[in-house]
Amino acid sequence: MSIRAFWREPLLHFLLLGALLYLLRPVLPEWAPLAPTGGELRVSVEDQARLIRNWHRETGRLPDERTLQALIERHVEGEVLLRQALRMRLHYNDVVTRQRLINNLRFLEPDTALPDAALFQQAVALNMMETDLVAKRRLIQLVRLRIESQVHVTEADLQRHYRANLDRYRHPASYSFEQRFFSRDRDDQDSADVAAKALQQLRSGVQATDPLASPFLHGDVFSALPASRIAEIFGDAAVVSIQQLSPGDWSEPVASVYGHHLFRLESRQDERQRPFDSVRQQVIAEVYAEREAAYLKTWLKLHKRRYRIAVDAIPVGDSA
Amino acid sequence: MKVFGRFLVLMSALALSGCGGSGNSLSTDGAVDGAGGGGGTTPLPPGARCLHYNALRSPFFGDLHVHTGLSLDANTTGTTIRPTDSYRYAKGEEIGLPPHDDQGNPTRTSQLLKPLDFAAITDHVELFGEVEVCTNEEDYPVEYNSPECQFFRQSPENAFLFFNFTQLGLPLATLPPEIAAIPGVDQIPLGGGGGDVPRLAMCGPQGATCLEAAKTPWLEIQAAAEEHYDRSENCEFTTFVAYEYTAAPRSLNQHRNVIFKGEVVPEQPPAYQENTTPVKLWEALTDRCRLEDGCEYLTIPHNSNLSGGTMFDVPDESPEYAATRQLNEPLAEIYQHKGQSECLNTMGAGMQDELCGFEIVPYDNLSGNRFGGANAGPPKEEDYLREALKDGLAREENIGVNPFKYGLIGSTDTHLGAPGLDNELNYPGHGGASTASGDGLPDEIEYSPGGLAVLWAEENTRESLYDAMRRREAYATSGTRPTVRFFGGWDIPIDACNRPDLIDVAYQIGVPMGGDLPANDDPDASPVFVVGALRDPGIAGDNAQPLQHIQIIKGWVEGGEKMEMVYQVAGNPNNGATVDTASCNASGPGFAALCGVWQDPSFDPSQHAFYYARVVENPSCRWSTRQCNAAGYDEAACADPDSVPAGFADCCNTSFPKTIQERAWTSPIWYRPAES
Repeated sequence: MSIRAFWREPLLHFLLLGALLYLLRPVLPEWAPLAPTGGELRVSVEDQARLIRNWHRETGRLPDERTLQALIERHVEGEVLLRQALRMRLHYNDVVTRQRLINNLRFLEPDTALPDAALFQQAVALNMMETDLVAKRRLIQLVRLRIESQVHVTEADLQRHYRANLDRYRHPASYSFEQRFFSRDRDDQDSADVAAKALQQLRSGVQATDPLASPFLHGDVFSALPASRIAEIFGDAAVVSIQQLSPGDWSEPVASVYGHHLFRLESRQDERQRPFDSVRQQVIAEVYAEREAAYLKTWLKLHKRRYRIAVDAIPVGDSA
Repeated sequence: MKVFGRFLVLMSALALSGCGGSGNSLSTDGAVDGAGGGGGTTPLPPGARCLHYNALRSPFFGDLHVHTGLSLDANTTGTTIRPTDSYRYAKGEEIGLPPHDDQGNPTRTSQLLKPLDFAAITDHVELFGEVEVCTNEEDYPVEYNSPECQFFRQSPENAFLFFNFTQLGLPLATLPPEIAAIPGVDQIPLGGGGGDVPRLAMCGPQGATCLEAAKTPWLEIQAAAEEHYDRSENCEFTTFVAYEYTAAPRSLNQHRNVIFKGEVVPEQPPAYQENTTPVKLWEALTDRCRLEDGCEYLTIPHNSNLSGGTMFDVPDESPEYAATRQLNEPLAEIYQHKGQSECLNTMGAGMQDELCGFEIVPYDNLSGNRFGGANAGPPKEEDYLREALKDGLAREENIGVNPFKYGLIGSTDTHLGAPGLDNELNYPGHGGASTASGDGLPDEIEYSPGGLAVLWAEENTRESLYDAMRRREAYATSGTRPTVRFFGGWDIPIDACNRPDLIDVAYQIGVPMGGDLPANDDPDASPVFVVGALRDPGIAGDNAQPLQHIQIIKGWVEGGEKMEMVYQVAGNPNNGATVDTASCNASGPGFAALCGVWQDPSFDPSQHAFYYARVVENPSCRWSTRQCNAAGYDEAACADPDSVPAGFADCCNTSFPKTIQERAWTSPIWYRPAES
């Protein structure tokens, strides 16, 4: 056999193609390639009117063009998922859907003597899994979960995600401190003056019970609060003041919405990276969420090709 | 090894209820280890404390009533937010709202001004409950003949829409509890072996078992709670595994949120169709959530205002029932999206309490805003918590146990999957998700953005917060974030508000909100209460107002009659603060901090009593006023009602106030006479 004849050998082509597909398998979705054999998927004017009505009911306004396109897209995706669910005969396997359909029939014929199996067959014959919204939603959810469950994540993926998003996994700097509060709503005192007087006492080492101060409902001792929390309780000025303090020192009076405060820094814990092990579960969840969303998106993109999707034009001047 | 133990616990819980077979979960440790790559989190060791631990307790703000796309009534109105997204939102992240455009990008976004400290996703768990009620005449003769059920049977197709899309009766969800949503082993696709990492490492050998089971809604809820619960020493955010029990026979609301203390929960959360009364719910929970397995729970009733007189009706007068109810329900939700449940102001001394007019929903059941109101009556005083608290005292006097010993919380009941979205500014409605005003109000005029639950706890962990719920050291807000302390005792010093060591002293000689005054032998003694509040300090983009005044509400039983009185304790209800409803600019004085000490002037040691505090802020514009003004349908436009489009017609509805006074309600402190 000549070299030329060798390369023309159909069996070789077959083997090479097979090998190529085999090699590409890890990066190719399992369902590819697909033929457009799913038939027509039509979004009627009535469907669109319903989408518009629902949107209006939910938001109180009509969808703009971009929103309407998104609503239609979501509707189409739901239909594609539903058809996949029916193709996979999930309504036969899922007890929830099955029971739902049987109950529907029992409504229609409360006195029926038919067994569940017969009622279920009737419901299927009536195509009730496409018309009953609960069954439909359930089937769409099930098939989506099945699609997403095809996603697998490796240890290396986790490590890569962690390293690429180090900023997400940091403990902010935090501060342990005590404070004294001087209320601006106490009639008998000006909170700034009283705070200044109390500061003198504190700096001079007076260990009295500090009668000048008012009670503060959050307490006087705070442990390991990040700046954001300090700001929530005392305001931004307190953060600046505490960040500038040396451990052991009392601050000058700091104004807040409540009056004035004196702060004494106990200790500062610097910002630090959280080790991988301490955020492992978070990383797993994030990677799965990311991959699942991407996988579902790709799946839908490919599967939509199975259908001739027709969106009927809404007649000009028509309104929902 | 500690993490490892945690997953064993979780798997034990799953095995307990049958996930992936039974009895073999403890033999899967190698798989967990292998699946986890030998790694794990580094949670707090048992007994260790969070870095921010505060023995005198800190206030933690959260939302215990949140629906995501897993609730069918939320799902069918376009909410596709999953529990994990919802928790991200609670932690302060921006989330995209549906719909998504052709590039997959959300067309709207939302973000909290201030993150929450904790949250519980409480999706509806039922699917078939209403169906059963309407088709089983033998077991439910009354419900079977109700208007809704007749409608259902006559027009099942429309009725399905009706039941599914509205909140009438039973909002539908995805997981019927009588049916194991866990697939058989033969249905589980192989996967996860080798170097793969199974979801949350809680599946079986080679990471394959339960792979799909882990994705069913109830497990998705558990997984999201696990993912977002900060088990590190920083304790930044706490989640609770939870769900909503959705009983509403004849639209009369009996809903409860079921909150689990930890990650050990029943595989099948007891739901309405198999547990048609709260008593049956508690029995099922007691059976499936056992302390010896590490499972603990409580239930929180909500929207008693829409129960048509049934929420505080009792099936029997026995002390056993009262004790069961008290044990299961330490808290009630006093405020949320569908109005307040504090007081109605229609009978008794409550008629003098004009603050009872706050956010009243003007009908008495869940379908009151449908059928032109034909299916509902006016709100009933007995559906409101103040009346229930008094009724509880009367019952305690008769049978020795108080069935209605409720602490108070608020929450949103959002159906957007947006916990803590409680601001009157830019309110998108809790059924939709718009952030823009358009050609109509985004919600029913009588609804509101809802409130928050605040818990006084040593640290932000499940254990600490759950314990706070159990001892009722909790208060509700209408959405803002004032800090409120309330203590009672026999020896609280009269100058307590001027003592820097107030908190320390109050805990030593008194009891905090939610507690019981101890017995006192002195017949002349009268209890003293100290209540303090710090205003919501606000944040850029917010509209927090200063405080106006604080009241203490006393309820008691005198000669068998239920009594109540409202006392002014601090601040000034007539401080002259106002808000211009045209511009929504507020003006007038207010307080940043208030504190008051009050001694009961008419205490009778032989009378059962409770005391709770109400902290009231200066007035501000209601959400509807803001949106009506923004759309140009202000009071001037209402002079010509025909010029106002239907979507904004309620802008001219004078039955609803233009302003509100945001507020907080503390849990009560109770007094019980010594046994004679």
